[in-house]
Amino acid sequence: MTIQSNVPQWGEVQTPPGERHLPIYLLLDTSGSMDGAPIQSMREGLEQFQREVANDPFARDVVKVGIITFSSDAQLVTGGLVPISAFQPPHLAASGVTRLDLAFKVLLESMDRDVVHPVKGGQKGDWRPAVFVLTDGRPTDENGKVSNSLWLPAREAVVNRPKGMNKPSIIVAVGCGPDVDDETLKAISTGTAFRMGTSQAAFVALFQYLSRSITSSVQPGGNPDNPLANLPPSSDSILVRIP
Amino acid sequence: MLTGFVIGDRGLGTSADTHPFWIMAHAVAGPYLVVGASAIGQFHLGQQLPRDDAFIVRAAGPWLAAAVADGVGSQPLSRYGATYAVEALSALLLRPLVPKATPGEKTAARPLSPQHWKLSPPPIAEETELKIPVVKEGSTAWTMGISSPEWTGKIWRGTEPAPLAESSATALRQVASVGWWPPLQADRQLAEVSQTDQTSAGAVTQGQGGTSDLSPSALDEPNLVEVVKQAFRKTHQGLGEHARSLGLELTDLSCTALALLLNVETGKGAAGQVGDGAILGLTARGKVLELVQAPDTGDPQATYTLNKPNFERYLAPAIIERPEADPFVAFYVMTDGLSGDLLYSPQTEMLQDWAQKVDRNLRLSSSPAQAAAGMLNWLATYEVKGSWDDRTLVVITQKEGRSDGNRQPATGQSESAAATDDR
Repeated sequence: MTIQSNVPQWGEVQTPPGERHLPIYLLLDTSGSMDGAPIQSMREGLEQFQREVANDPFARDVVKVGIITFSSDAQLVTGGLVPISAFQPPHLAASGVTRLDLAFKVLLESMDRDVVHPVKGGQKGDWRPAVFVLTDGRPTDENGKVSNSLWLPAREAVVNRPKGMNKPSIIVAVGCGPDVDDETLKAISTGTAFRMGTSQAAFVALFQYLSRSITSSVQPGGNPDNPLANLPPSSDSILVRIP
Repeated sequence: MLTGFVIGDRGLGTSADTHPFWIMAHAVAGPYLVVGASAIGQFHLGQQLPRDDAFIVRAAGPWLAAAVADGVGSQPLSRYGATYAVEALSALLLRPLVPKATPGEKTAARPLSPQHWKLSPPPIAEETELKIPVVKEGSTAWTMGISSPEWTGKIWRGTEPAPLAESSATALRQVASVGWWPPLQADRQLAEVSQTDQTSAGAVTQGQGGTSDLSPSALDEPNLVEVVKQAFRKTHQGLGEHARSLGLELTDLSCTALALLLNVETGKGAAGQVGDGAILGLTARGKVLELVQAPDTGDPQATYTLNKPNFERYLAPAIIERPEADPFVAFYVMTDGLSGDLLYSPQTEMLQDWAQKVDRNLRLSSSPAQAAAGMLNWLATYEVKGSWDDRTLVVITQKEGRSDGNRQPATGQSESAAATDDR
C-alpha cells in the first residue's frame, strides 16, 4: 500500500508497488532436556511474540518469521518465511540431542531460498535476516556428546558467506537453564548473548524482549539492519546480558 | 567571465554542523529548469539524527554539474562526507571545462548591454511552504509528529491525518539565499565574450594532479568520461584530506556519490556513480533509461562507497547520448532512499509514469520556487512500507524547445537561482 503526498498537485505522483521485509529466524532447542515446562513456556512465548509483533502497525507489514527447531534433527517448521500476521505458533515436542549444526544448515538453505534479493526491474530486496538462537545446553554431536566440531563450522558457513549470498545481520544467542555456557553462547552469537532461567516468567521476558527489539527496529528511527541497535540493555534481572 | 551558480547543500567543516533537515533549491540554466530537494527520512527524524544525504548543482557557462550523495547510516558523521563529495564532485566536473579566473579579470569584466544597465532584483522574494503531515494519537497510520519548538521526533498513533499544528509550523525555521542574474539574452552575450576569452587563453590546466588537452578544439569535444573519472578520483583523494582536517578516519565519511555533467546548449554530457542511487533520463517519447549501469558487485545487499580504496572498481562512468529523434528531455539524479522505491518493480510503465508526472509538475509549476517546494513536499511525505531513508532528487528538465512540444508557461521573470533551507 502506498499513501501519497498531501500536496494536491503531487498527489498523483506514485512510486511503483513493492515492499521490503524483515526476516526473523528463531532457532529453538527442542532437545530432550527441554521437556516439560520449558517447552510449554516456549510455545506460549511464541504465541505472545506473534501477538505483540502482529499488533504493531509497522512490524506487522514487514516482519516475516521462520521457526527452526533443532534436537537430533532440525527442521523449518514454518515451511519458509511467513508473514507475522499469518504465523501460527507450531506444536513443539522435546526429545533427542542438541544438533545446533543442523539448525544452521537449515537456516542456510532457507536464507538462500526464502530471503529476497533485490532485482532492478523485478523486486525489492529484504533486509538482512536477524537470527535468534534459544538453547538450554551446549551443542552436541549425534551421540549427545558435547562437541564444538560440528556447530562451529556450520555457524561459520552462515556468517562468512561468499559474496552475493544472503547472510544474517545479527545472531543473538539466549541460554536458558543451569547447563548453558557463557562462552559457548557468545561464540554462537555475533556479539550479543543472554542467559536466563527456565521459568515461565523467564520465557515471557525473553519473548517480550524479542518483540520489543523487532518492533522498535522497524519503527521510524529504527534500524532493521540491526534489530538491537535501538533497544536499551535489558534491566530485567531475569534476562541477563552476557558481557 | 562566465555566468554560473551553485545551489544546494553547503559543505560541512569544523565551523559548525549547518546541515538542514529539509532543503530545496532551484535555478534556470539555458533552456533547462533545475530543481533539487532533499528530505530527511523517518529513520533519522525518529531518532533525532541529522539528514545524511546531500546534493549540489553547479553551473558555469553552458555546463551544468549535479551531484548527490548518501552518507552511510552506520557512520554518525557521514554527512560530512556526503556534503564534501557533492561540493568537490560538482566543482571538479566543471573545472576542466571552463577557463580559470585570471588576475586581470576583474578589470576586464564584461559590461552588460545598455538595456540591462538598470536591472535590479525583484522587490520581494517568493515564499514557499513546507508541509509535513502529522497524525494524531490513535491512528492506524504512523508518522512523525512535531510537538514543540525543537524537533522532538515523537511518534504518535492517530486516527486521522491532520494538518501540521500551528505550534509545529512555527517550529520550522526557513533560511534562504536567493540570487538573480540577467535573462538568457544577456547571458548568451556574456557566454560569447567568454568563449572569445577562452579561445585566446589556449590550453587550460586541469587542477591538481595532471593536465588534459583542453585546447579550443578539445573543448569542442572534451573527453567527458575522462572528466568524470578524474572528478571522482580527486574527490576520493580530497575526502581523505577532508577526514584528516576534521581529525576523523576516512571511513567516518563513508558515502555514495552520483554525478551528472550536462552541456545545456548541446544536450551532451556524462554521468558517473559509485554506490546505490540512480541517474535516469526521460526521452521525448516518454521512455525512461538508467544512464549509469553500476558494475555488478556480486552482493546486492552490500553498500559501495566513494571512500573505499578500490572505489574505481565500482565507478560506472557513462556518456549521455540519444538519437536526435528521441532526445532526453529530463534527467533525474537521486539517492537510494528514492531509487529503492522506483527501480525494483517489474512494472516499468509505473517508472515512466512517475518520471513524466514529476517532469510535468515541475514545468507546470507557477515558478521554479513552487516547483522545488512541491517536489520537496512530495519527497518528504510520500509513504511506502519499509521506505524510511533520506530521499534526495535533482531534476534537470528542458522547459524550452522540447521536441515533445510540452512547454512550461513562460513567467517573464529574470532567471534566478536559490537555495532554501528549512530548519
